[in-house]
Amino acid sequence: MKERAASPGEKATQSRSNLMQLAATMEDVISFGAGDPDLPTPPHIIGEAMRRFALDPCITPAQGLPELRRALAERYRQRKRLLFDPASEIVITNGAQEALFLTMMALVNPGDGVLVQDPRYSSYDQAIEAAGGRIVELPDARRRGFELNSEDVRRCATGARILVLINPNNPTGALIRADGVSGIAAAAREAGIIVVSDEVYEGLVYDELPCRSVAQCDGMRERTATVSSFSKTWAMTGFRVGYLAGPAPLIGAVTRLKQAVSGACPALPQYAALAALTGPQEPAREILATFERRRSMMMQGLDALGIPHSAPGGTFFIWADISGFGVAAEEFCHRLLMEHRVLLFPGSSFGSKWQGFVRISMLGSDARIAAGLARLGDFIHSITSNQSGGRTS
Amino acid sequence: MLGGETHYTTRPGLPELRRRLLGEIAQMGGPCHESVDSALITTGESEALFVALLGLRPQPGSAAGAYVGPCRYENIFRIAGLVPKHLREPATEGRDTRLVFREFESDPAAHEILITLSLRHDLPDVLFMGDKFAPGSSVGFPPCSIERTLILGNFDALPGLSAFRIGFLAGPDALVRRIRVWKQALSICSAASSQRAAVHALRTLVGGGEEA
Repeated sequence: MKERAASPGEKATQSRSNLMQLAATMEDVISFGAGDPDLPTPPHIIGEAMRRFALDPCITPAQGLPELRRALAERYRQRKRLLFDPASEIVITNGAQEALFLTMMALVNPGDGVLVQDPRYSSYDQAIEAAGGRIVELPDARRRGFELNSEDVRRCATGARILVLINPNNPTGALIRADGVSGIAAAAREAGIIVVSDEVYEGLVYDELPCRSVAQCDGMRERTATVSSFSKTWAMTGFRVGYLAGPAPLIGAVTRLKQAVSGACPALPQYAALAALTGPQEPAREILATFERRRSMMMQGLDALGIPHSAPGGTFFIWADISGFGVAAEEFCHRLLMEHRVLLFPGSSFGSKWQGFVRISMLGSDARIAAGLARLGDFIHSITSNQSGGRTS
Repeated sequence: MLGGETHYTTRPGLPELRRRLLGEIAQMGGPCHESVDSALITTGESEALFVALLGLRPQPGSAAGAYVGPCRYENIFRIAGLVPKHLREPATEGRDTRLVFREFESDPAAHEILITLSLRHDLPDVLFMGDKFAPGSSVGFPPCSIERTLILGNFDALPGLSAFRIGFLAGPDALVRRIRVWKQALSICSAASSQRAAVHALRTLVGGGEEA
């Protein structure tokens, strides 16, 4: 049958998928790979979801459970002083990824330039590709700890129509601080650019720093699509509930797409999301505290191994520089998995130029993290020993 | 859920669900695929169609597919950037045709014409079952090709499952692999609770204990 070549985005997604599949066939793998909090979903969320579903196993409107949309609007009002009409300015999706994908399908016309960060999660590329858009990579900002700024946007704004801003960032963990977000928003506004703001990790921001939403900035509410989810903050990835908040015309367009492409999200996960929003918030704070502690442990471990790394302001990812070991990221990750049973994702699956980097997820108990770091150390020792052996022989 | 199944599942879907699905399709008279890589679990049948079109399409705007009308899903073709063509139109057999699409309940003559087109032009053949996946029933499967036919549908015919919004895609693993990167890009995986409900429904309906 006629085959077309896989696009870079497809290849990158496939690369991570292949590693996960390989790891699934092995025993005793320490996974620092997936973007899935390993902590249990708070029990009250599960209990309430089951209770509500038993009472009313309905098929909700395609836009999502009205009660859930109202709860989200209230949360935005309380936490960010942003007013969204739950009837027309919020849609519930199968995870944030569907929100992002359908937003691209709704906003991007064939040939439109879409500004994206570099490195980035490859699903953005596939969404832009599916919509017929043109990817325009922003400068990588590595000298500033990957914290994008307004100048980066201004430099690339000509001809672009949309900016995808991921804050905090996957895979670097970089947090763009409040003044930086305001500056980027101003640059976007001046250039007439629409911002798609991915705030999936807004609940995992460290050092008690605020995570400013682009839509909070002057003149941006009407030109921003805010994408977020329940998955990371409440450790409930398997429920697949995300959402999009934005201007009514956009929400209407995305809802129509959603109606055609996947219909309503299942009711049970939406009940779970509602319980997460309206129930006790202490479990979310505990999840954050756990990752903050792991961040310190992981960074200290990497320092001890001599691996340069990012200092994440949010997310549970560390972006580590392995270029000093002379092994490209794909091979590094494959060998680390096969020889030492540790799963990391290669930087090249987040952008072709990142062959010298890996993404490390801060997953597992303290003991597992320590064991994973020890295995990583053994692997690095074996690489460097072979290299020095090769040089002297 | 109480056992902790509240996180991402294996991206293409729970292996037990995929294995049972493939087994039941074979039991119903459909193609028999051995590898779980031949199945993909989706959020409803329309998502299965959307990701299939994304995975099989050439480039946006290219013409794709011959199908018999009326078709309920033309809008999904268009959203995926493909141009549907009707059999009655003279350009149906053009070289720009990318796939064949047929609905399960079409008349036998239409099935015959379409699968012949698929074979003649070496095209993927998308057979849309909708809610006709009914283990234990003999629905009369239309002709299929083990190398080319992708079967899409949902689990809504199983008792109590419609609210779980669970769908599937089954076919040659080479085709399914091309499609599943798009499912992963669109929504990563389908809700764990929905997948587990489908497993339970299949176990209850057709028997068989919990798989190791």
